Amino acid sequence: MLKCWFLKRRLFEYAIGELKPSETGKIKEHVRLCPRCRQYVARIQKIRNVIAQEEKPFLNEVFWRKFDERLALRLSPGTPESGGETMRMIRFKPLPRFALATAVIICILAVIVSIPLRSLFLKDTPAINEQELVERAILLEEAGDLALNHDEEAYIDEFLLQMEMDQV
Amino acid sequence: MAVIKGRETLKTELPEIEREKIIRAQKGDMNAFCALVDAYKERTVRIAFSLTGNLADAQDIAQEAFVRVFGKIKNFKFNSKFSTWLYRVTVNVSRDFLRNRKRSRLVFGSQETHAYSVRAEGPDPAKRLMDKELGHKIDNAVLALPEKQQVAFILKYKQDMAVGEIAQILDVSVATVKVHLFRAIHALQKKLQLEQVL
Repeated sequence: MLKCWFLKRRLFEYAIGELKPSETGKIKEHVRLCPRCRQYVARIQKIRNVIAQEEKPFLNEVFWRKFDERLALRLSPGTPESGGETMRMIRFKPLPRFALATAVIICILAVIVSIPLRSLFLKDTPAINEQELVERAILLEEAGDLALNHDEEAYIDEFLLQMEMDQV
Repeated sequence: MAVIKGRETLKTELPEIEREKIIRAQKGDMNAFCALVDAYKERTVRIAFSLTGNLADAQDIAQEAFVRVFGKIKNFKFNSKFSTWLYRVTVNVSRDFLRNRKRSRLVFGSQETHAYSVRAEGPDPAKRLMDKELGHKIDNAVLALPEKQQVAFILKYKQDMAVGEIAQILDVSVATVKVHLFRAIHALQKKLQLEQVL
């Protein structure tokens, strides 16, 4: 008897009825002898049989008359619907991919632009506190409690100069 | 007839009468196109119905497919059967429709429209009832499959198409269709076994 693993693909093709007639005999023989493969094939065939029993819609003359009339209307030149789409189809027309891509790009750009703006905003907010900090630093330095290095001193000088200029 | 090897399709020899009708339709002969519509409208509606589960939607989809085919018939180069081309358009229109229905279902939470019913004939009412229940579960499980698997499965089992024909309609290789079917059936079996109905 052939091994199950060796037949796996062929077994599936056999179960869906797509195996060449020349190969069917070997598989049939294996399925007869192997309970596991027999069960596998039976399950697939069960699905197929249940679907085959499904009731097909009955398309009567009235249906086809309406169908023909509507189609003739759509195909005839000069009518508003000719070559176009019915309202139902327009309702279900897919969203244009271009519009979707544009929306995504706009979102990305908005995020990119908002980052520097946000940092600017954040920079402005502590500016008020900065004044307090500098004033406190000056007081501390005058009291001898704070030893500022050269850069810090230069920064404070510049700050004081700016304040004086603003007052003028 | 067409010789298919994977995606390769050789020039198709259509029946002479059909070829003549197509050529006449390409020249703008509406009667010839109507004859083509008459020949294929039933199968087209049935394909759309099996994909959407709703006859009104199927009618709209079939009409849309015929309108699109009519608009592009001048570009038809006889590389495939006319029916294959028409069914491909039908499947594509149905797919667009299903995607939109899925989207609207997500937004509005609308109900499934697949209405399963088993043929009334048959000797055993209890078995019919069980099959009906199983049919409902299969339909729901099919709806949950990825789109490509769903379409391949429906064309194979509800339209009884050969894998080669499905491959031509979906414009993929035969092996790809088999993979879709294998995955679809595997997922269905798993789901139905979990629900202890298979």
